[in-house]
Amino acid sequence: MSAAAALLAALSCVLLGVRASGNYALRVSVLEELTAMTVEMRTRMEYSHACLCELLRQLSRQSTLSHLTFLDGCASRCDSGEPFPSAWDGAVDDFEATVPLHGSDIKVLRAMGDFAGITDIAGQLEFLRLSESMLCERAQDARQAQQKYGKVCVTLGVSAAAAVCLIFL
Amino acid sequence: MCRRYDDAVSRIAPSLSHELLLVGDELKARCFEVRLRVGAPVMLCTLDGTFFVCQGGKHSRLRQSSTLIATRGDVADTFARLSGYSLHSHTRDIAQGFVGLEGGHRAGLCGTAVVSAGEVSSVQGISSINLRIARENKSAALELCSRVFSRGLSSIVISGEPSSGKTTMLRDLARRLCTGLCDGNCYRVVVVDERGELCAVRGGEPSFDMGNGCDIMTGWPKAAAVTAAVRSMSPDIIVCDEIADSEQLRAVAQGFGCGVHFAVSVHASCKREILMRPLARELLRTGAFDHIVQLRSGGKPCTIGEIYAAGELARAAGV
Repeated sequence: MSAAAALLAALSCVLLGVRASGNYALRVSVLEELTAMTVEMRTRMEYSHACLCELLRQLSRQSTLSHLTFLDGCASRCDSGEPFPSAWDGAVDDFEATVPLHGSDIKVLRAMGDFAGITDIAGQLEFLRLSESMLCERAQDARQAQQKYGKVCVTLGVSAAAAVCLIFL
Repeated sequence: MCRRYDDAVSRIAPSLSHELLLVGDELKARCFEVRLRVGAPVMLCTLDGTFFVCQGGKHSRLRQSSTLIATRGDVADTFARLSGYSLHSHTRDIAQGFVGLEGGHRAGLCGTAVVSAGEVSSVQGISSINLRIARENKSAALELCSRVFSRGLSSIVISGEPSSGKTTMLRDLARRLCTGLCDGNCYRVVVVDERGELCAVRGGEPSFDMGNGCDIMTGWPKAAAVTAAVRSMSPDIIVCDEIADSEQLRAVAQGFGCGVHFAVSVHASCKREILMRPLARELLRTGAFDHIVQLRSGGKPCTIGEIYAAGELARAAGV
């Protein structure tokens, strides 16, 4: 009985380590997609001057932005008549609960909603450039954190599992 | 229920639209403009006069204690909604004092002009909004077709005062010409819809019934559109709304040289105004228009008052 409990505890430790490591990788992927999203948004906006909801609808169909579920969420909220600022906020709230982004990452995303659509095209493009560079920095930080702690988490998980086994068996 | 009224009013701030949607169907059907001014009563304009809207959707010709008042927040919220929270998509229109809306409606704007390099680049601090509700009238050009187009194409100028039905008549004329409802021929019609009011195209599809289909150039400056249309669309007739300056006039004149007919509109409420307005005189000077269709002022929109032979008017104007 105690052997089974020890094995279960050890397995949990390993899984926790792997999950923590996976979160670092997922944060990198999401931030990279967010950076790509701002580039795509800027390009499309410059070309077509399309309104925000239409842009989001187009972006939500991009398979390369599959992690960014808030795009579709925001577009749906806009379609149902919700004002863009609250649609963006609500969609980001939902998104925040599903991805391992840091508070500072989310802050950049929220700021995009505050500034989107309230200036002429030149202002929008400048702001998207600023957001892009901030997201690039965040992605760079995330990559460093992944390199630094990603493997450590797995190692810690395995070590903890070994310790549990030694103690209980 | 009046679909077009409801569609237009639903774009106003919820605090006001909630009451405006409760207005009776009879008034909805007659209303062609909704006027919002900061700190002033919300007004519905009909051909019978202006009405104030009160709480609960009631209306009155006189201001009452329950009359709905538009606040600064209501007007700002309405402006943001009308622009789809995307000012960058409407910069050019806003600089000209309006926002074109889905469904062919149009919101006129007043506020403080932002002038850059001598030109209005934007309008800020919006103080009033005039929401014009687009109407579809599929018999608006019936009389025009029978009196002018029954024996083939002509070039015409439709003149009338604001809200006299010029745009509605041009839209129906385009539909009839491309569908063969004037003289049995289906003509190639290009509609130059600079302000997006004539056909209200969204996602490539017109919001109004355009019959067999016209080639619609939305948002193009008229001069560029006429040149492009003549070069690549080989139109029989080009329909465009509101010739407003000499550059647009030059584009029309160039099109005439290529054998294309035109149906255009100008603001002028009577023959005397046509003869006095420099732009209308310039239009006559081109010598290419056959008829000037004067719409009746006041009363029912799209009612033809007089049809003048353009040549005679030109002689009267001494051009």
